[in-house]
Amino acid sequence: MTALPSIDSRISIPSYLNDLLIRIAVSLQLTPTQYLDAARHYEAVGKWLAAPGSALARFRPMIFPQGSLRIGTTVRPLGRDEYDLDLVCELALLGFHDPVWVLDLVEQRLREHAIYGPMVERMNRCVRLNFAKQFHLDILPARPDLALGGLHLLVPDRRLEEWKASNPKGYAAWFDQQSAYRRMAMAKAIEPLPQPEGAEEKTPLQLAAQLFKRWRDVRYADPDLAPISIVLTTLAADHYLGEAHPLEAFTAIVGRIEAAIPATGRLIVCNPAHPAEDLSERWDARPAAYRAFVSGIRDLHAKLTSAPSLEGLPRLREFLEDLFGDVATRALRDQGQAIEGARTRGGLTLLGTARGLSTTAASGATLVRHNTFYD
Amino acid sequence: MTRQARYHGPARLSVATQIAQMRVRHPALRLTAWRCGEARWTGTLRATDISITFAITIIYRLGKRPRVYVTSPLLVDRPDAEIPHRHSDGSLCLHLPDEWDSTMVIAETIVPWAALWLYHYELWHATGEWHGGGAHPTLRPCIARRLAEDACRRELLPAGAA
Repeated sequence: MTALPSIDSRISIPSYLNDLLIRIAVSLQLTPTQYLDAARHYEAVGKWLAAPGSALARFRPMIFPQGSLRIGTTVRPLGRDEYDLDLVCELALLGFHDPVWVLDLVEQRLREHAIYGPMVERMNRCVRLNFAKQFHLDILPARPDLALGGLHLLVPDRRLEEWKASNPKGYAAWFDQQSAYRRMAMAKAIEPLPQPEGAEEKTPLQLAAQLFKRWRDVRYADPDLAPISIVLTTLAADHYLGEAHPLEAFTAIVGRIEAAIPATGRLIVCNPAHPAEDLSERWDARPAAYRAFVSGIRDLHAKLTSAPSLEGLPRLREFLEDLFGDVATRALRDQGQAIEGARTRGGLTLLGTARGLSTTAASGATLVRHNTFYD
Repeated sequence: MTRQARYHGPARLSVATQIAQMRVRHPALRLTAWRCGEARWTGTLRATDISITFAITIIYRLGKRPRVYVTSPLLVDRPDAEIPHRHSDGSLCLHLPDEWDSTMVIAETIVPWAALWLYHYELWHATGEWHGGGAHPTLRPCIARRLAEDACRRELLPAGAA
């Protein structure tokens, strides 16, 4: 289940730091229980919308997750408990339908539900269900884009009163493809310690995207300056070239983004599933936000580059707290508990006086026997 | 006529054996003194690949508790608390008195415990909590504590040994 990277002399990336980054990312995502809860609700919502008696039934609604829930990059927002989870409700609407009418239809049907009704909140492009202390389920109605075909969809925009292009399935497929570089290598490469639940299925790209979003939440207190998640996720996936560990992946990604920043004009982040769409268009109207992004990226890259030379857990904690906030201390604590757990089970070894502690039984490693530190 | 050998339990290891074991297991901990039945090793020890590399000295006199001193960087208190799990001479408290005896190999016990102690020391500085477990004076009855302290004190050599 676990192998220690420091055994592999070709890998110079600090393994305990990677372990901490994994712990940080995993501590921010939906817990398995929350995930199952979200899945249960979204299936129930899907059934409710499609049930006989629903005004939507004749459009054969199909519900599926999109965004971070679909691609495995959920991050708990800073300062509140509720995750933002997006569901697409695809409707077989052919021909013209008023976008606001479609939004209202979905809203109306949800309001009729005994449990979900009181949770409904009307949004610009979706109908939101508020599960207090857990998550928001944003239900985005959509219809096939017959002109573009394939996986392309159109989604209603209440304010603009028109249909906008979207392609969540195409985007997710692209992200998976970028991610797939390393799914296998990751599994056996790095963890010095037994990983927290949910970590083993994560790819370095997913982890890097989560860390990127968390860094954004910590760095930009002003939401008007903060780059939006889809921009960060797209940039991360676009610049990921198969690095095997989260620190290496995150550093390389941010370095490549920095290098891609043009001397004049601005960085344009296109939707890979819909190349005509500029995901970063709001930077046109907000030059201050773009400048804040550029200086943030430069600063982040400089910091990540310095990470491998940091020495000592107190220094590491400061570094991680600066980038990711208070989850850093918890990650260190979790790592300590993992080491203690290994020691209690008789599975902790000392690889050598320079290589340190490990859960790997490598040849030449010394088992850490039972002891009690006493005062 | 054969004489049945009487079993006396595992044999106490000589200082020479401890030295040989140390050379095989941890060559980076070099023997710097060996006289009058007392051995000293000095070298560096790092708990993880992100940990501080500490310079340590181990002093062992046959039959006594091996003492581990951290020489650099110096161990420091937190603003709110003193370093836990240390003997009054500054050496690391790595085990209960009955958890180590001279039949055990220092390189296989004391050295890994010291690495673990250093890890928890750094983590204590980083998080403010000691996560390495152990017997805490606040958690044990005072008699047990006094016994432990006495056991500790009996092992100490005259001042200046460090």
